[in-house]
Amino acid sequence: MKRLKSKRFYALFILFIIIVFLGAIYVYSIVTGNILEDAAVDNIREVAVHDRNTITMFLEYNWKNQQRIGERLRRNSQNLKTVSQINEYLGLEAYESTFDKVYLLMEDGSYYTDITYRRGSEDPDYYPYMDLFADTDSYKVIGYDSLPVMGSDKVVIYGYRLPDNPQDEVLSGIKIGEDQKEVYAVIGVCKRSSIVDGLVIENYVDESGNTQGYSSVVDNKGEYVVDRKDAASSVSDNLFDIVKRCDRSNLTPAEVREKMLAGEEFWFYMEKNGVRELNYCAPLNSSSVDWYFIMSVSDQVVKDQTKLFVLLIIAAMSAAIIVIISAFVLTVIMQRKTQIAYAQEKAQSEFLSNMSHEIRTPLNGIVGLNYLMMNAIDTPEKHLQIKEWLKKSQNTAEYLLALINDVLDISKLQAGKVEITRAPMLVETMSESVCSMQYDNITGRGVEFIKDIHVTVPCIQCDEVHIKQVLMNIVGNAAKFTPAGGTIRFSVNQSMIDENHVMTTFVCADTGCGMSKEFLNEIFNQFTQDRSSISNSTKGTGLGMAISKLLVNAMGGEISVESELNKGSTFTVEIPAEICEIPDYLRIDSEDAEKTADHSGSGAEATKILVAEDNELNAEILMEILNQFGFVPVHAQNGLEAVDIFEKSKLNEFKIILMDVRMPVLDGCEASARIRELDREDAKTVTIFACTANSFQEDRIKALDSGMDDFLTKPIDVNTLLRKMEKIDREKHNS
Amino acid sequence: MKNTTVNKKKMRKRITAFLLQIVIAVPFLFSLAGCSESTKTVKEIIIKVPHTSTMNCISNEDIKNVYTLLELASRDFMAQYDKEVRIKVVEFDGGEETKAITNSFGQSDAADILYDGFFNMSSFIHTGKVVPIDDVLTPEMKEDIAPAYLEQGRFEDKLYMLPYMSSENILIYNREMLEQYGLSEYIDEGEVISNWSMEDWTKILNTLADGFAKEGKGKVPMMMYAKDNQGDTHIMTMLRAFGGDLFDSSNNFDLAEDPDVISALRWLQNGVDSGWYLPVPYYKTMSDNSSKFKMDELTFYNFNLGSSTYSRVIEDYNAQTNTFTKYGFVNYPGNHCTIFNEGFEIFDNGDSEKIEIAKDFLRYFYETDKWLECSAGSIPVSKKVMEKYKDDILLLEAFSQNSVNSVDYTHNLPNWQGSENSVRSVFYKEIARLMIKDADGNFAVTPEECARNLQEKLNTAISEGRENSTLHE
Repeated sequence: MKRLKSKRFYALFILFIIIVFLGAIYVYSIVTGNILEDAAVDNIREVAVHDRNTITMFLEYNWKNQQRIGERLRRNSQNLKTVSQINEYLGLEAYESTFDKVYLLMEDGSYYTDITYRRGSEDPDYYPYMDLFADTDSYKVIGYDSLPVMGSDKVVIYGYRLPDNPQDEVLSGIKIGEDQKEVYAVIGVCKRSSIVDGLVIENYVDESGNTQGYSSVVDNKGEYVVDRKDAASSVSDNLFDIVKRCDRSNLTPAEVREKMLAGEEFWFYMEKNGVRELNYCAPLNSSSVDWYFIMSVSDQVVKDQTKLFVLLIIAAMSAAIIVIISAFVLTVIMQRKTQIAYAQEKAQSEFLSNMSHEIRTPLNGIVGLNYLMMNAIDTPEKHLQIKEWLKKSQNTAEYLLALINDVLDISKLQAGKVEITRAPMLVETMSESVCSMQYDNITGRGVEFIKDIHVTVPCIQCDEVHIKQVLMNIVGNAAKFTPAGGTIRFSVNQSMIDENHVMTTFVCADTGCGMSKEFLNEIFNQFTQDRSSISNSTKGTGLGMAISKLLVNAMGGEISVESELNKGSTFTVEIPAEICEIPDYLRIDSEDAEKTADHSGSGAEATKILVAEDNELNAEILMEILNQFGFVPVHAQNGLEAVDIFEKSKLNEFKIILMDVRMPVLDGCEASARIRELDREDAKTVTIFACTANSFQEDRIKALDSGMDDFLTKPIDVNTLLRKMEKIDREKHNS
Repeated sequence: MKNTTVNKKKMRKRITAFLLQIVIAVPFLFSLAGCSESTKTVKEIIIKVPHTSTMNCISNEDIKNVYTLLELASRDFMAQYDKEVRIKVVEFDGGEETKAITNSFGQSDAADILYDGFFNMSSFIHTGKVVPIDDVLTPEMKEDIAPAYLEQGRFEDKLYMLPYMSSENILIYNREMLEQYGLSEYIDEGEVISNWSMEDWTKILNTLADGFAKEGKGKVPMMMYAKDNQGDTHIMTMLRAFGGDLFDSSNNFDLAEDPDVISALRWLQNGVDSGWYLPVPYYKTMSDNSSKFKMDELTFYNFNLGSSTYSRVIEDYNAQTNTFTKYGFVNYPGNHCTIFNEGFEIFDNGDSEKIEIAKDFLRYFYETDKWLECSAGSIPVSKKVMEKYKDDILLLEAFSQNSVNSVDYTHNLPNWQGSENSVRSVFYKEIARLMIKDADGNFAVTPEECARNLQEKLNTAISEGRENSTLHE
């Protein structure tokens, strides 16, 4: 619960950081976007000012050229009588000037070009150039899609009206031709392509090469003098009309006109058909005209320019977020590692403390009892008391052994050294075996024991030993914590997972003391025992359930418990397993088990057993036990002595060798190997059991590799010894 | 220990998941910020066509130029095509092929399809940018287009240019002017293309020039221009006026030692002093001459069935009950005419999908009758179009018979067009120099010098073209 809360806290904290940063990015991008947009607009303005000055210079240069044409005309007018002379003269002027063509517009509307003379509308291809000068402006620049004399080329014409001022002796009153008409204006014609490129804002070309910005020139009435965007419409269109027709604008046509009349430099935007256009307007720096330069740039250009920067900012901020959150996550991880290390250290310390307590307590008891018994041994009236103390001492020693076994099991499980084996297991037989082993223990306490075994799949692939260990622990606990008059129900059920796998569910429900909620949360932890008053009388290591859980999980199963204080507990163990056929040996085993039980005593009667054990006490105990069961044990103090005794023995004198694995001089494995290598018939057939206090897999492999037949875990259980002997005999007989 | 391992794994998984979430979230943030754009791109095909490509489409009188034709056709193509494409038809100034095509290679405005005259287009084939289009030709198209037309578009057995219509160029003259100055004897009646000797030509031009000078209205008899490369083929054809093929057996220009060529140059140069041409001819364009002709102030000018003058010719013919009273027709001095095809090329701009779309467009264009029939605005290369409209095309028979006088003017040489030192870029400048006089009134170059300069520079251009020639794989 605490961990869950902690996780929620971290998740919320990270979410908070992300939200804060997102907010920061949003605000920052908006602010930066505005700043960048202003910068982009300033940039456009700079380009516009440059373009405006270029256009002004370009226009003034051309008008200056036209003035010079007028001046030269004054000097040569006397020689310009015939049409051919004037055509040639204008051809040469065009050749020498920046214009493609130079025309002379006469006072009556007729005009000379470099190829013809057009008198009036009665002449083919006559064009009323006089209309260009309908107003008072002396200078004109207008774009045309085509002019008759220029074929289909798009052109721009520059008009310069000669001054109507008698004081101007150079440029006014120039007369040419046979009829000596007065020249009204000089017209220069250029291909539009020659100047249009200069009016393009080259910086503002999109990825497809389309121009996003264009420049125009309008007069103070809003009429387009030069419109880069569309020369065809420029002649007839009007800026104020365009502003009026657009969908949206921040300035009205009147406001635009007012600003232009005031000579202001200003911005305004127009939006039409969803396309927003920024327009920079500035008066041309020309004393000759009061025109306005307009640079129109798609809003997209500004967006494109700012987008990149905003993108970079967002990328940078996002990177910062990632770095910060990563740092935070790393900090949390380190903190958690520290916590885990601390917890492990604490657990280790608690474990040692528990172990110290758990081992010292029974040992102290045994020492104390031994002391009492030693003092009382010579007092006959105390013999009954001594018998009682011996019984207590035996119980305490057994508890100590169980404790150490459990601790070792836990260690092996946690170290991953417990190998889960998969072998065919008869579910019902195993369940019955558990019930059988616990039956006396349960019923002897006055508790009713109900078994309810429903097996649909008789044989499954699993680790019988460990399942039995778990079930024995659970049922044993139920027996311990269920008071007389209570009931323990042990049930087994199976359900198919798929056609090859079955889930076997073992449930042990008791009407015992139950568990507190607090303990229920800790039940699968080590050294946990409910210290409630009801269970105080019951002795346990506190490791059983932890071992059970580790084992069940290692087998891929689940163990769970439901319990209510004073009402009882229900443990459920679910083991998934592969279904298998019942092998023959399992059928035989079940039959032979009975035989072994029936004849063990008589079978061992004359058997000599060589016991290789370096520990004198263990050897003495073992020898005594074997004696009691009718065996004839012979003791060897180390491996070398065992080899020696066996070598000197008669053929088949020893049927069994109990070989301690760890011994001085020569260890059990080496001794077994030497025995197997001896040149005598029974060297290969004698049964050698490895006797060891631990059951690590590598020890087993090493022992089997050295030629030993099987294992016996210390302290030696004679019944187990007899069963194993029978099994080995049977296998040898079969083979 | 095992629990610790499990925890570690879980922790790693969580960290990985978290970092993945961040990685996923960042683009999401970007998209929130409006930074994400649709990845869908509509292919844009750019068709370029010179502004000067005029036509007189019989089947659709609204179509007066190829630009309009391609605009209409591309709209229809886009509407019926199974992919979303955008076709942009772009006009460029006549003679600006270098700027419009060569200079835009690798640029966003590079042409995917070019419609132009073959003499302009052949040079691009040697850039390696023009795609072979044999696969555009369907069996029906092969059957329909005369092999001779297709041959002009072939290089090394691959078709690079697909012909659409053909133009035979001759001269049109103002018949009234000849009649006015007593030159009626040279006029042939009816749909006839005349051939005059050089003596006749000289006499006619001098007579007209003298008469016009006396009129004092600025009229001139003969077209001449050298301001740009437009119409240079016609001027080049006049270099054959006194004989000579202009080329040697190796397909190089052979001018400097050819007396016929030098005579022709001299004859052209004399025209300046004789008042045959518009004043300052070296700074005049073909367009100037066209305007002058239309104003009835120029006697001789270029003509083909696609030219803008053709409608006036038809009016003249129809107005006077199937005879000409205002116009007459004659081959260039030397009795030559030129024939050139117009049609399409497809460029490889590094996008195979665009090439396929361009090919699909051409297939559509040629397989759709209404667009194919517009080629009856000059001489159609399609037999079925020709068959359908032959009686409706005035002068078609005369042009057909006159084709025997045509000359091969380009020999499919590389670097004819498309670079600053191409044949066309060099030629008009040298002709302009031939016409220019210095301050003392003397010509800047003699005809011999002009011939030498032309030979040297034109052959240099061809040589460079051959060296740099690369055909598309």
